[in-house]
Amino acid sequence: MQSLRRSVRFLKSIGSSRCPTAANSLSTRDFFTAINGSSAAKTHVSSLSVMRMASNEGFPSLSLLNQPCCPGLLKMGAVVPPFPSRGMTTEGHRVEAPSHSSGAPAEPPARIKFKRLDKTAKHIMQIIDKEATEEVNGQREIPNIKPGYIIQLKVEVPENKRRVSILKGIVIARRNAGLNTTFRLRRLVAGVGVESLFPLYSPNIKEIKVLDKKKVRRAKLYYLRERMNPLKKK
Amino acid sequence: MCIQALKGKKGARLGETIVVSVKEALPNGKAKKGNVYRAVVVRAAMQRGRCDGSEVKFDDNACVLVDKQGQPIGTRVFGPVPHELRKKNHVKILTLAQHIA
Repeated sequence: MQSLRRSVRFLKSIGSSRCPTAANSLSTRDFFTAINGSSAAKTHVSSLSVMRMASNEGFPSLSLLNQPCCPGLLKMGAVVPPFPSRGMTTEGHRVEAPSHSSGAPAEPPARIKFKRLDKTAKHIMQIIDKEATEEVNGQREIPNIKPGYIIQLKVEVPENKRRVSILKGIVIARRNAGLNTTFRLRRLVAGVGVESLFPLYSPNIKEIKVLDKKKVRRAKLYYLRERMNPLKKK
Repeated sequence: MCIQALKGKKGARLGETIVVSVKEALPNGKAKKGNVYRAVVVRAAMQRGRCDGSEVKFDDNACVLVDKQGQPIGTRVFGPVPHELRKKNHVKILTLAQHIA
């Protein structure tokens, strides 16, 4: 490693003397790229060390400057004693950690998935949707329902009936669509399995209460149709 | 077994009347095997949308034998029945039902 530094300094001194015009634009990194171009065997190691050298910059761009400034330098680079190759493996491991830190800025820790809409109309619709859901959330308390929850609903059925139904069942699916977020409830009624689909923000749903949470490893529990079926012919 | 839907070419849905022929019957019941009756669909595996945006779907298909006037032939109805029957004016079936889904 030190031998490399020494060779770099040596080359830099030569380079600055030989090509003064290019010297202001080039940095130590660029000399390395020149060396890299010549010796393919040392590319892996040298690239990592380059990244370490260029810690002041945002991210190393080894793609720039493929051509060396001075052809005379190349020969020098080729003649560099093979000291770096001996320390190749250890060097590679050592420089790995700092190269990560000096690399591109880290990704944000919490990754929220959302789409960036290009068309204005869709964007407007998304805003309207969000506003509507927030409004309903402010009025009623709607818990977060995930598949696998056992839920008790108090629904008011509009077919000429007052608020009677208390439905109790397991949520087998949830479909997110803004205001039209729906969830499917499966329950056993009088010996027959019944599945109902409800919009989450429906004004007919008076109350939702989460009774139990089952551990499931799926988003849609359609396999329960076969398992929880009392009418299945064996 | 369903022979034909009474109203509509595309088939009957939940709450509609169909024409059926009896394939299996208990020995001493009101319906005899091989007769043709009318029936009302009370449970369908195809989901039926309600006016509030919800849907209901049963695990099996079932119907209740009725006579020409719409009164059920039998005296008991097993299993749940949906709310759609109320609109179709099958009040008797609803009152006999165990549970209204």
